[in-house]
Amino acid sequence: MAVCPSTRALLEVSDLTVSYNCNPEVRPVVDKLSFEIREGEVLGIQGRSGSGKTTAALALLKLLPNAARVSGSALFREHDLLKMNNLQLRRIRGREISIIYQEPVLALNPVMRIGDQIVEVLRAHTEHTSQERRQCAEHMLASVRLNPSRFYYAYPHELSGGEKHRAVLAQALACHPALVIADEPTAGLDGALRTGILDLIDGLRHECGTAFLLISHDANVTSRLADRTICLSQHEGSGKFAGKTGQPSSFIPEMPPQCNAKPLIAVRSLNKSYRSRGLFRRRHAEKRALDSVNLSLPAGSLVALVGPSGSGKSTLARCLTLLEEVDSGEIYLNQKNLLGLSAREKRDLRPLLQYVPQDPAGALNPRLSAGDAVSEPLVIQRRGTARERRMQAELLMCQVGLDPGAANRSCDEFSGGQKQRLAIARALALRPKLLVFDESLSGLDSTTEHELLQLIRDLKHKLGVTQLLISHDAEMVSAIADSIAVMEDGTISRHESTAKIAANPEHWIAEHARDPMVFKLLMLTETE
Amino acid sequence: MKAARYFEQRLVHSVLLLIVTSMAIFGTSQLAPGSFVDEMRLNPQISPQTMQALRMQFGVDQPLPTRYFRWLRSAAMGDFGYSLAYNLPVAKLLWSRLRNTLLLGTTAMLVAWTAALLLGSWSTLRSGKLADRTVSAISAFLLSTPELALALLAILLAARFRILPAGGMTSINTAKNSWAAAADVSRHLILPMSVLALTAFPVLFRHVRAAMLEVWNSSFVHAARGHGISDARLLVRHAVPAALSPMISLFGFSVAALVSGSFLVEVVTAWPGIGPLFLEAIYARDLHLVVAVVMLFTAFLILANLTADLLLYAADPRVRSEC
Repeated sequence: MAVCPSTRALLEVSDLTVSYNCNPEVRPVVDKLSFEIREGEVLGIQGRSGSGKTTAALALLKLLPNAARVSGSALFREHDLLKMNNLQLRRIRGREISIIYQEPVLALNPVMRIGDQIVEVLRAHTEHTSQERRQCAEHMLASVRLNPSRFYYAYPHELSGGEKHRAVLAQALACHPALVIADEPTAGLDGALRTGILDLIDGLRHECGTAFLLISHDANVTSRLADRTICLSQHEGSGKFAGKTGQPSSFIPEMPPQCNAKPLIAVRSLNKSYRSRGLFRRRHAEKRALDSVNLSLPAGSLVALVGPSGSGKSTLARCLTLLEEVDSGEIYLNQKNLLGLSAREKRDLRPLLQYVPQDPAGALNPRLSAGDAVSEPLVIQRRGTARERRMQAELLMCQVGLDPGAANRSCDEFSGGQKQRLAIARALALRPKLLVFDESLSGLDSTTEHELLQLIRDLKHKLGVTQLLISHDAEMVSAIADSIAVMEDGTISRHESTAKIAANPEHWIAEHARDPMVFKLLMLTETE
Repeated sequence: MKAARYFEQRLVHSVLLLIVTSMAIFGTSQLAPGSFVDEMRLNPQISPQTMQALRMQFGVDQPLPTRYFRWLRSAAMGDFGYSLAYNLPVAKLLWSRLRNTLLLGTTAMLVAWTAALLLGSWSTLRSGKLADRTVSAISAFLLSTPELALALLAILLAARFRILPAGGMTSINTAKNSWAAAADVSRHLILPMSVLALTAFPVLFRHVRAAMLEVWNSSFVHAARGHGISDARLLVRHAVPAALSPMISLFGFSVAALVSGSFLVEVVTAWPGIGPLFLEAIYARDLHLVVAVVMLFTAFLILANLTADLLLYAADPRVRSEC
């Protein structure tokens, strides 16, 4: 039975403004945001990363750090949430309005059983006996389709990604709140699991008549569930700082694309396995990550490496950039085998092979300023004076489309996409011959992803850097790559140029139609 | 099952480690010149013939491996060698002293841990505020004050104001009944115990505060707060269990310090524990006693780490599933 959204406003937000800085010139993170949600309604808030969606949601329940300045009003059943004291807020949080955090992995206490975590919420808000609370928690687990007898006693690390999402949902719905704020409820889930969670939310919403404030960067998510959607643009909310993402192209010396067929780097029958060792037993387990891999990257080309997770893509990337020792095989850089080299010789070559990691947030020291982070490789290699390095850093920031004026800001203050740009700038600092992007675009919203893809393509044209772009999304990378290598179970199963695939798509379809990933890629090239 | 095998393995490692340690101590003791008998040369009343006879009797003239295996046999029998200076089996000598050291160490650790846990949690709740900064500043001051200076200051104060006995473990006119005797020992205990607790406190406090603060600012505590759980409940039920792991590792070290940590304080305050015994043994070149004390330190360190591992296994479900 569908509950029609009533006309009465449940939550009325007007002129919500959040800033971290009293300087009026710095634009607030959330700027005069107004919306209302009626009972039982699903309102989608959509916007790109860094647009202040999460900040706005946390501000409603006063869950932001003390440094945040929040103004405006948020009337929940005629009471202003922003004017409540801690005790009043505590009665609202979890009971009237509950929140589902972006990362369920982080939102669950690692040392507490799932059942107990739901019971804790019930304990805070109801007068139930412990027996009743337990039954209630079991019922909640069942309603999110988690078997209570198995999951009540499970710890978070024993749950899969989708199960954690469900557990967090059960926790949020435990006290039957009137409103649930769901911050990216499907982040990090793939197709089937995402649909599962969205169906679940849809079902629960109709069953309990709960209103949802659904925050997502993904238009598909909001459009599927939401009765109405508002977009947070740069006018209402702005990024952590308003960085320029345009290309100040005058800084970049144009270089003709190099079109020689000679491979810059080539690997032959590369093997690598991981084994865990005990002190007494020689070998406990052995996992084959790379199984006689052959790959060659022509100089100046952009090669995409795609494949399912766990197929050895990252291992190959780390072996190519000499971050990991291989068991056997050969890696040639300009016809010179790198594997016989001494540690010192390898060190001299490392600047030529640069690696952009998967998680830029983890790879940038939050205590360094952006400028220091970018010029750090130059410091390590003892290149230039402090002043030269500084100028170089600003130039590099320009090159990757960041405002060089932000060089003094701490790395922490940049949004996800901007951090990735910083990581790229840092990798470019030593003028590498090869850049390896290890899933560098995952976890970003589609607009940011697209901008970064453009940046990567521009780097190829303007600097002539050879690039290996690793991704699990063939569709995305095929748009810019010269050739695509597919990796499965530690081997490169096929490696063909995008032009060739486009020239004869039928042949490819016939040969690889069973593989949904390749199929997807072909559909794309065909339409092009 | 796997866990049982793991701990079994650890136990075997520990015994091996103890044997290697004893060899190392025996070996390094060789590097120091002189032996127990050589000290007697200073006494003109003892003739060189007597000294030679004593050398033969004590076996000091035997080669190192022979001496080591003799000691090993004695250790296996539970004597841990023979103290030449005290003319007693080492074990007998050690046990009575160990009791005193453990009394001092255990009370000091209890006091220090209680203070560190309470103040550490309190500081976490008040992080960045005046209270937190004050306690942190005091702990920094204590951390940088040498143990010896603290002990001397305490003795000075005790002697000046005559509120506490300044040293020793019992008064000269020992009390008649056991209650009075216990009260007398407690009065003597206060001073060395306070010094020891004050030196241990800042390290423990800083670790507890860091661990608690990390958990307190973690996403899951924020999430739990978003579910309307009160701060008191958050601290006790959510944050403390999650912050236990680093504290347990630290607890292991502090158990190890029960015997070896009070060395200096015991010597300065004349507490009849292992510390003064060890020092005298070194001066007298009483080799077996020195080896036994170092072995005791090692044994405690190993035992403490084993205990910490067991506790960690019990406290953290993630460790359990990894084992």
